Amino acid sequence: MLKALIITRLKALYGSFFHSSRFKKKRRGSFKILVAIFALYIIATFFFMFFGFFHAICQPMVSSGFAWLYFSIASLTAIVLCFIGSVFLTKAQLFDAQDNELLMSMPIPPGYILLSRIAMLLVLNYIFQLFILVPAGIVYYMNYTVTAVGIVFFIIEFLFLPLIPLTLSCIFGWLLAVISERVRNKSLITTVMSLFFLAFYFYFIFQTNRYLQVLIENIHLIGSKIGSFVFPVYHFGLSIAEENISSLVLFLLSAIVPFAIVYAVLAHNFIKITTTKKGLTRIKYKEQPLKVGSAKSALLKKELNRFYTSPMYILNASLGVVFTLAFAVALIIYRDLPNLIIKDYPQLSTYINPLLITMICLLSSSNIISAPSISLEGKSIWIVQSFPVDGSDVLLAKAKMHMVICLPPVFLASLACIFTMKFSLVQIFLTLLLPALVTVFCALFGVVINLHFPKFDWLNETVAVKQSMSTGIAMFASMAVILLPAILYGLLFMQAMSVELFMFIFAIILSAVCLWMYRYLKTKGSAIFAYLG
Amino acid sequence: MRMLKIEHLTKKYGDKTAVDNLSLHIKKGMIYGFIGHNGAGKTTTIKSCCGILKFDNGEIYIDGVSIKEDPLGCKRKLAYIPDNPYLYEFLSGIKYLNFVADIFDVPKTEREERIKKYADLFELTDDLAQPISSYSRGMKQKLAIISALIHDPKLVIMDEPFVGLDPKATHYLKNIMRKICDNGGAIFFSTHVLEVAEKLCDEVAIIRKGKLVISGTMEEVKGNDSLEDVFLELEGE
Repeated sequence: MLKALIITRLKALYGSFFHSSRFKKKRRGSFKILVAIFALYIIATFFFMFFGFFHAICQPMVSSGFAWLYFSIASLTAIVLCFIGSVFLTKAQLFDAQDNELLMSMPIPPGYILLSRIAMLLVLNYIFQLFILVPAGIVYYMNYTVTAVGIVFFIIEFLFLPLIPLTLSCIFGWLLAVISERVRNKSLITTVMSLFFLAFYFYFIFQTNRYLQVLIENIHLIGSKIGSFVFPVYHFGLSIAEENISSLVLFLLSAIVPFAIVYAVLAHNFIKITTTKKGLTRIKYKEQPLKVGSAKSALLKKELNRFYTSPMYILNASLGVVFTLAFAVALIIYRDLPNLIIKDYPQLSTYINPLLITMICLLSSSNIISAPSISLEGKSIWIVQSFPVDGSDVLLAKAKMHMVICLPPVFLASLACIFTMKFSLVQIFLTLLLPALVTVFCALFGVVINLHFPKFDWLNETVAVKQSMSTGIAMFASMAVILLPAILYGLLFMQAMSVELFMFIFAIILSAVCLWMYRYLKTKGSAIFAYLG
Repeated sequence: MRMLKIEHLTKKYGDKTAVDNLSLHIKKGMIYGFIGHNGAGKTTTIKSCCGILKFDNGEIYIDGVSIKEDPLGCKRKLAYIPDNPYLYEFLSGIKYLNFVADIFDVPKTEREERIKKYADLFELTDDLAQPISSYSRGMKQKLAIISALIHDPKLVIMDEPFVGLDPKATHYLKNIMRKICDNGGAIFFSTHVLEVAEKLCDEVAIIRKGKLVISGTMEEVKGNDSLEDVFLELEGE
């Protein structure tokens, strides 16, 4: 029974990436190639990032006699990133899954349901952990002698380390579920809490170099603090570096025992946690005049309502909005920064303004709001399909939602550039045009791609937003649309034409592509949507 | 004059023929019951009539207009209530109803009057400010019914409309169905509750494995037997 449940979960995880009902037969091969390319891209990016990090700290630490601290830092990094990366997914998977009630009505022990979901999260944590511990291990292997015992210890600890972030994310996921059940503005509270986590995450990432420096300068102090206060991490490092078996046992106990306790508590209370509705005070409807609008504006409002009531959607699909705003504010506060860069790199003086424009384009392209918008219709897709509205109006409403949310910050960032930097008239024109055009492109592209890779069989909308082919393609393809021309210009066209002329030509091509996608949605897209699902 | 005309409808899913050369005529002023076992092809037929499922052969006309040629024109005249009312959980009841009214371009006064009338009737008024996600199955069904009636449709197509409704709401829905027909509209609905079909329907069709087994007025179909007896007898063949 447990095996069947776990296999179902893992199949769901696999299916969320590979399965597409529309092109199940036709595109199976191309699907996998595409996924493999994206997977390689992600793996390479993270691998080299952490490789660089561990390469910088390995030698100073080991040569100071703190080889254990090196592995402790690696495990701590893995725990922090696994926890941040999985805490909201844990909440969604354990406590908000739509099939919880169905499964609990069957003769399945609640502990099995919980364990099957935890097994899926464990697999995800292993994947996260691969990006951190494997580069750490390789760096160490490249510089120092490694014994067979050391490798065995490393593998054992690799297998059990994810239990620590999993224990933490189970506790926090539970707390989040309890809080969001009791408060009225739960989307606002969840969004704020999630942004807090993300701010912490990015602060951690951006401060990496400073931490490295502090770490290397204060190895002794940090080593003693970790040894005293972060018990599991300390023994993780000690057991590998010194092949200390008692440390291995202590680490395993510190990973397994808290996890077992949390699992036992959650399994015991699983039914209560997932079925208890604390119930908010019922708001009694008071009759009031209704606002009348057109069908198109109603569709747009519906899309915006869906977006603003889902913290998960906001956080996973529109982080670019936050970053674009942060970029605009940073440009206003640190208005001398571009000049300082030019001072250090005078050869960049011609390109600093186009680079700023490219930066806004890149930030805007990281928004994938429209990419899961068709999938999010889920089982309620019959509503718009049975309405007397053209499919293209429904699809364009989704693209418009993307634009309505993303264009204001993009214009704000463009204006910040114009007012803080010395832009020529052509550059002002390009600053106002190109990022806006990229936003329109991303909006339309997201809908087109989701039309071809829809996913309606989700049990939790997180799957549609975070684990679908459509959002994966949209995210990387949109960024590639900015980065590839930039690379192309640097490699081939730098001598042949000015950057402004190149950007102008790029804007014309992008406009043509946007026009084509618009026409596609109006014609073929509309026909596809009519019978989707 | 026929409100809904299904001519030689055929729909296949891969190799399986879900609906096989089905023809039905539903006249104005008529409540038409559509009966069949699970997987007989009722929902496929209903979805095809609503323009949300592409069919392989045949034609469907709503008030004389082909659903293939003018799907939007047809959809303006009909209302569809599915067997499982998956609604927009992120909207409140009133926002959903206003959304539907906007889509069908229902004037302000009329939408306010109809929402009040039907929400009061189904005792849903007090809950309209609540998010749909907090509604029970029955409340969602009531909301789906109200939203279907908001634009005063000429043809209402319903898939198992009584599932989840309390007896009072069931009674009111039956009255509404009769009233729509009295005003020149028509109702085409599927049901497994044969007693309801027997009492409510003017005409009835029984479908089995995608094929029409029998159709006609209630008297023609059941004669002196009960509809249940006739259905079981036909199913046993």
